[in-house]
This record gives sequence, structure tokens and C-alpha cells, in this order.
Amino acid sequence: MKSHDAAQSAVFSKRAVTASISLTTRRSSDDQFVELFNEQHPRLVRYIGRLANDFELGADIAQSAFVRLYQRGSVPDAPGAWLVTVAMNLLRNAKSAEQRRHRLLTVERAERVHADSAPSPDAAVQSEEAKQRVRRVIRELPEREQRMLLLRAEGYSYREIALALDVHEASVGTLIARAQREFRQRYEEGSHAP
Amino acid sequence: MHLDEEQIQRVVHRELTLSERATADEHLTHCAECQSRTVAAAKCDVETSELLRYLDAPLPSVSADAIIARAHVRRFTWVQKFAATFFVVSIGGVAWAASGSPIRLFLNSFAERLRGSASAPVNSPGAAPSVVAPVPELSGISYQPGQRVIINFTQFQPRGVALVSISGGTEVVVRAEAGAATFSSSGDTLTINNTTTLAHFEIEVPRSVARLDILVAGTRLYNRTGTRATAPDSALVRDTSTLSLARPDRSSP
Repeated sequence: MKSHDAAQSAVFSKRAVTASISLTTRRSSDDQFVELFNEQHPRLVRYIGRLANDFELGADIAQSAFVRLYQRGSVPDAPGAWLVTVAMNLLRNAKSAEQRRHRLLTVERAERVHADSAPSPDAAVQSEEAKQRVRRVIRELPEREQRMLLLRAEGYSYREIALALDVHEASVGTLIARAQREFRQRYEEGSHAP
Repeated sequence: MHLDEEQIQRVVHRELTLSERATADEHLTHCAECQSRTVAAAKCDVETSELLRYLDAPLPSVSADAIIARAHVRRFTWVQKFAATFFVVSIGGVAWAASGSPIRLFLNSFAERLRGSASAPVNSPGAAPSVVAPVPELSGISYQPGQRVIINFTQFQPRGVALVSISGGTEVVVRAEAGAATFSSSGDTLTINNTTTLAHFEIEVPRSVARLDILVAGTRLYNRTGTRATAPDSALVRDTSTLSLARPDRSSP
């Protein structure tokens, strides 16, 4: 019995590799979904929000991805990677759609909300500069390194990253190290620039 | 042999199996260079994560219940659309098939108008009287008659028709398409001022009327006295007669 419970919980762990489990088994499907949602939703919003540089869009896309997961009726092998893949497809669609241009107008509003929490004018200026630099460096990175960096920062496992980005799991660590070096190097260059 | 970059990253990110972890730890205990590289990798990892936080904005407050509700709403909407389409088509079909359906009458009337505007005028001279598609608006007159009734059409109509029927009712009733004629009654006489070339009149006369005469421009077309009816130029079918309001052609044999 214990081993069965352990297997059940492992499905929803970050390293879940087990076969799909029907949402109708044992616990109610909604309970399983809520558990998965609570575990995956914040980091998916952050990942897409950082990637799109638009947290409102990130939130919309994350919601849509979870709606699709619910309507799917069963939990995929690696739910984290599945959600990331679906969300990235949705982001690609949103970027190509006209509404994307409209949504970009809301970015500044989100930035203002974020900046309002700064403790002092000096800190706010420094924070704003750093933010702009980070944003610029991230934007300039190659797409794969960009995503690698952001997925790792959200704690996605090597397997989830490999599945989401379609790379060999055995080389994920090396790719992450390369992306981090690239990011740090460009960031430092930007901070010393006149 | 030193740890390679992949192994160092896996040490930092705890992506090693237990046995791999034991092997790596054993090596790190004795290798200062790999220790240094591991510390640097961990430091880089933390600092990168810190920098990336600059990109963040407050996370929206969303509950799983809201997502579930949204998922149900979407699914329900799809079903609802299908059901609504099915319902409308069904109701439309029933309305069309029902006898005396106003939808069918309306569409027939509409189609008739389209045909009328696309082809030759219906009222062209020489054409046979045609049955006009049901017209929703009628005109007419009804009144309580005495023992005698004289119905007088003021003029001949080339394609006018009067359907006379003896009814069990108590009133004389005359109906026609709106605008086909004007009606007036005085004493025993009902005058129908028919001004168009085409009209279809329905006349109901109570059986209790002792004598009924129908005239067109002073010429008697029909007479009924008691139970006996005579209408030399028209067909008589028991209590129903169909009278042509056209001028009689006395030259034909």
C-alpha cells in the first residue's frame, strides 16, 4: 500500500516520468488538478511572463494552458514540460496575432506597479537601470539559451527542460552553464558601458 | 580525473542519482580545483536567478477553481452552441411543416412577389385568372340581411371571380383582397364597387334568405329563390357557385 501511494505522489513530483494516470483514479480528478495547479502555476506564469516581458500575457497564457490540461482529462507523463510546451505554443500564437501589439501597451503599466514598491528614489533608479539591462541582455540571447536560463531559474528539472526544449537531457547542465556564462558576460559588459 | 562541466552543474542543481552523487562527493572531498569550480557554478546560478528577478511583476491571484470553472464554461459553450443550432433548426422545420404555417405563407408570398417582379406582370390582359398566393390582408363587409339580398357589382371584371356559398350562419359576408373593392349596403342591396381587373370575392349568404340576386353592371348572373339556384354562365355545385365577373361573350355558340 505504501509503495502504491509513493508511486502516486511521484507522478506529480518534478521528476515525474511515469505513464499517464487517468484523472479519474482514486482521488477525485479535481483534487489532482488543484494539486498540480498549485505546484506548477506560479512558475509557469513567471517563466512566460519573463520570456514575453509581459506578466499579464504570461498569466493569460498560463491560465489557457491549465484550461487545456483540465480539458485533456488526464495528466501527461511530465506535466511541467507539457505545460511549458503548450504555453510556449500559445505565446507564439499570441505574438503573431494582432492582439500582441495591443497587450504590449500594458507592459509599462505592470512595470510601474513593480517599480512602486522600490524603497527610495535612488534605489528605484538603480533598480530601473538593472531591470532595463537584464531585459535587454535576455532579449539579445539566442532563443534556446534564453529559455534554458529562464526554465532553470524557475526550478524545472533537467528532464522537463530537455522535453520542453527538445534537447538531450545528458547535456542540459552544460547548456545551462553556457547560457549563464553568456548572460553574465553580456550583463557585465552592459554595466561597464558608458 | 576532474568532474566535467555537466557533472558540476548536476551537483549544483541536485540532478545526480544517489550513486553518482556519492562518487562526485568523494572526488570533491579531495579535489580543490573541482570544489572551486562547483562553488563558482553555484554562485553564478544564484546571481543569475537574482538578476532575473528584475524581470518579475506581481503574480496575479488565480485559483484552480477559477480555471476549472473556465474549462467547464468553454466546454458548455460548445455544447450550448450545438444545442441552440439544433433547436432553431427543429423549430424552423416544425413551423414550416405545420399546416397553415405563417412562415410558409410568408415565404410563398415573398417568392410570389419575387417571381412577379422578375417576370411578366400577373395582370397582363388575356391571361387566365390565376390563384393569387394567400394575402394576409383582406377587406369586406358583413351584415344581418332581410328576406331578400341583392348583391350588385358595379362593373364587369375581365378576371374577376366570385365564390358564392350558402351558409348556415345569420350574416351576409363578403371578402376580397384589400383594395380590390369598396362595399356599401342600403336596404336589401349590397353594392360592391369593384374597380380592378382582377379580384377574388368570397360571398356567404345565410340559407334563411328567401331570395338572392347577384348582378354585375345590372346584368343578373345568379338567382336563388328558396332552394333553387340558377346561374346560366357559371358552375353550380350544390350550395356553392363560382361566378365569373367577366362580361358574357354572347357571340360564342
